[in-house]
Amino acid sequence: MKAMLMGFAAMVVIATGAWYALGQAGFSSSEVHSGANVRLD
Amino acid sequence: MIRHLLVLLTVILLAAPVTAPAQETVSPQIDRSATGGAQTLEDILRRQRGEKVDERFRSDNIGGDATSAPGLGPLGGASDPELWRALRFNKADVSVSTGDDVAKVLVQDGGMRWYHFRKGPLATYGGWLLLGTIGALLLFYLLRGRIRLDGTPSGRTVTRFEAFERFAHWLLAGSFVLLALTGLLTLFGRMFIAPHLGKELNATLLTASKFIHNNVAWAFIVGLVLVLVLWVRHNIPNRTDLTWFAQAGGIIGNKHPPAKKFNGGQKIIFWSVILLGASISVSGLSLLFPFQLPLFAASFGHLNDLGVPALLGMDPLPVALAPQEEMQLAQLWHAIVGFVLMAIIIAHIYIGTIGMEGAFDAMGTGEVDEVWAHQHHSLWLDEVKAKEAEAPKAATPAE
Repeated sequence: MKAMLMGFAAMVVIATGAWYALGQAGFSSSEVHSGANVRLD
Repeated sequence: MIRHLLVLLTVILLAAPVTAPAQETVSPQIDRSATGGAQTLEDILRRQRGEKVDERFRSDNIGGDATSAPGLGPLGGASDPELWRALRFNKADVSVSTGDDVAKVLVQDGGMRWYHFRKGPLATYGGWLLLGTIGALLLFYLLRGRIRLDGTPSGRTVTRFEAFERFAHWLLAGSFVLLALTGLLTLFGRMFIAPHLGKELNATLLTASKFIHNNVAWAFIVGLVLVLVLWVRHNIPNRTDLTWFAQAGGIIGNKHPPAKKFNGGQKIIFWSVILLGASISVSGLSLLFPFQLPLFAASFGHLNDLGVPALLGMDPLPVALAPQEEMQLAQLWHAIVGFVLMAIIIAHIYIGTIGMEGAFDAMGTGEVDEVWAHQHHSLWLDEVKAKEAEAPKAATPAE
């Protein structure tokens, strides 16, 4: 069962890492699909 | 491999909707001489009756000038309908400040087809596929019951899956279950959750589902690659599988056909997961990076070049797709392949848990009883035993 829990933990780590890394790398929709002429806030 | 799968599934996906209208009776031509080729009352009435109207009299009639319109030309009037028709059929020369092709599409004609297909056939057939699979398994369980171990457990176990193999399996399994549930919430939330449990709850679930689905997707892709690398050599089809299928895997009757590490049924699961999972991953990436990884225009072009639509008696597939249309096709593809894989995995979960005694241990602790191993994977057990017999000899120190 340890392997199962490790698998689930890795899933959470990868998902969190992907969210953080893609956001930091400028892949968020707000950065990709908007420009200076678009006000999102 | 992925390209071939995409091509195959594209044909299947497109064959159904395209062949259906071919069976409908062709409506008689409409005489539009009285309107100078423009829309008539009959066109409007046919559309209201839900009949198919060939729109080419409008979509191909773009770019006329006002001089041909009776009474307008001499006055120098500009024809707004020309402009609106061009916008309606995405043929207007539009300039936008963002400068990209996405923003140039002001009216996306295919959007309604996608919308109706998504909430109609996709949700209906997809939902029934899953419910039908669960119903069939329930019926099978009632008729056949749990597949029990023949005889009593020996108490001696062999390692069926190492820790890293189980880790990879659960990484893939956990992420797939989460992706499936959040995908279903996204598709069915508006139909079943919003009317009964409220729009607020549905909105919250959708927001959470989107976040989970977008990010857990990466864990699924990693798991898929790990599982492929770990098990592909054990899943090459061979003649043993023919024996296994000839005896229906031993599920019907009491025979236990010989099998290596993976039997014929497990190989089908493996290749389904790999091929369908890869297809889902590719279309998912296309959706994760909207408008940046279009798949379908290029795939359709290849299919047309190969002459596949002609073989099926279809017109060539469209190769000029609006960016939004690419996304819509990717979404439908993603969901259809997802539904098929969900149905297969439901059957896999059944046989790995309540369907077969002792099966879960293989992925739970990794250790299975020798009697179970002999009954379900006799050739693999022989290999393991042979290796164990060799190991002590090799380990004997020289004196």
